[in-house]
Amino acid sequence: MDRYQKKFIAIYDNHSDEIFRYLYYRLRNRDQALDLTQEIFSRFWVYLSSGREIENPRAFLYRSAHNAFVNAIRDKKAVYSLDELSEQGLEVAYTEDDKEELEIQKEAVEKLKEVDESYREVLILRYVSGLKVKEIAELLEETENNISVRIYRGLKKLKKIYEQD
Amino acid sequence: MNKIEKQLKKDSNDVYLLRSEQEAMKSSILRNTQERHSPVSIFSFPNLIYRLVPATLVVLLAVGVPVTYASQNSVPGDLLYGFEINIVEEIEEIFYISDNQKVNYHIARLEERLEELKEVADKSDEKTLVALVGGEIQEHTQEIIDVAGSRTRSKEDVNQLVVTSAIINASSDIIDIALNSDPATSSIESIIVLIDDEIDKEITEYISENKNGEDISDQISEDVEDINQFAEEGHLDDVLKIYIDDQLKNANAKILEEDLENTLIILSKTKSEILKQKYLKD
Repeated sequence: MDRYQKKFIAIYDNHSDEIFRYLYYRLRNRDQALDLTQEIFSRFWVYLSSGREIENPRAFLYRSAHNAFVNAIRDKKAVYSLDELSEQGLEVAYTEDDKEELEIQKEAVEKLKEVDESYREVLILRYVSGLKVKEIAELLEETENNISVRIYRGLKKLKKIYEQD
Repeated sequence: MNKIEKQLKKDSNDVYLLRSEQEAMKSSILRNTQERHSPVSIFSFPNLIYRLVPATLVVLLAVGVPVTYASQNSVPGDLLYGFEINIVEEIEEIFYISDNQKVNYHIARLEERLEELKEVADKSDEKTLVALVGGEIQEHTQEIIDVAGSRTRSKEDVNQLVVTSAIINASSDIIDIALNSDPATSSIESIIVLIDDEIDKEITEYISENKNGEDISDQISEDVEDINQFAEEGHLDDVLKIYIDDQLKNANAKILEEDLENTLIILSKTKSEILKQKYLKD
C-alpha cells in the first residue's frame, strides 16, 4: 500500500460518514446520496493519487459535496436505484437488521423536509455536519451575519414544526 | 444549545453509512481507480508499460500542448475552433470550483463569443458559423441563469445577471441575427425576458430572506454608489443622464413607500442600462 493510498483510507474512514450524512439530509434520497458520496471520494482519490496537496481535506470534501448537490439538482438527476449503484461497482447485501436501521435514518432525514431549502441548508451544515458559522459562510460564499440570521430563523421554523408534531 | 438544536444533533447521529456500505464503497473506489490507472492488469508484459508511458508523454508533448495553445487563439472557421469551445473551454471550467467563479467564466465566454460573432456576422458565406456561435451564446446565458437560480440567494447573483443583461442588450441586434440563423435557438426577446425575470425573482427572494436585516439598506447604498461610479467613468450622454436622474428619483420614492423590492429592481435596471451604454461605446 503506497503513502497516497494510506492517506486516502485514513481520510475516507474519518469523513465518509459525514459527507454521506450531509448529502442524504440534503437530497432526502439515500441511493442518490450513496452514489454522490462514491463519486466525490473517487474524484478525491484521483486528485490525491496524482500527488497534489490538499491543505484541508474536510473543507475540500464539503465543497465537492455542495457542488455535487447543486449539480444534481440542476440536472434533475433524481432516478437512482440500488441496481444502478451495483452496476457502478457498489454491491451491498442488506440484512433485516440493516433495513430497520435504514428506516430510522429515513425518519431522521424526513423531519427537516418541511423547512424551506434556504434554512434547511444552513441547519444541516451547522447541526448535522457540525461546521462553524465561519466555515459555512466560506462554503456558501456569504457573510457570517447572513448565515447566523438564516440559522436563527431556521431554528424558529423548526421549533414550530416540532411543536405541531 | 437549546432543545431543538440538541434534538437535531441527536437525530443526525442515527444517519450514517452502514459498515458494509462503507467497506464496499472503499473497495470499489480503490479497485475502479486502479483499473483505470494501472496498465498492468490489461497488458501482461510489464515491460510494455515502460514503452507505453514515454510514448504517451511524447504524443502529449508533441501534439497536445501546441494544439491546446493554438486553439486558444482560434476564431470561428479555424480548424481548431470546435476544439476550443468544446474541449479546451469545457476543461478550463472544471477548474472553477465555486458557482461564482463558474458564472464569471461563462460571462467571459459570452463576451468572447460576441467578439467572434462580430467578426463573422457580416459574411454571407459564414451562416453555419454564425448559427454555431449564436447557439453558444444562448447556452452560456442559460448556464448563468441556471446557476444563479439554483444556488443560495446572494447579491452577487443579481450583479452577475445585471452584467449579463447589459452584455446581451448591448449586442441584441447581432445576437438576433445569430439566433435567427438556427431554428433550434430561442428569440433574442425571450432571452432578454428570461434574464429580466430571473433578476426580478432573485431580488424578490433576496428581500424575503432579509426582511429584518441591514443587508438590504447596505445593498441599496452599494447600488447607488455603483451607479454614481459607472456614471463618472462612462462619459454619459445627456439622454442617459436624464434617465439616471429619473430612475434615482423613482428609487427614492419607492424607499419612502418602504417598497424595497421595487427600489432594488429600479436600481438594477439602471445599472444594467449604464453598463449597456458602456459596452456599446467599447
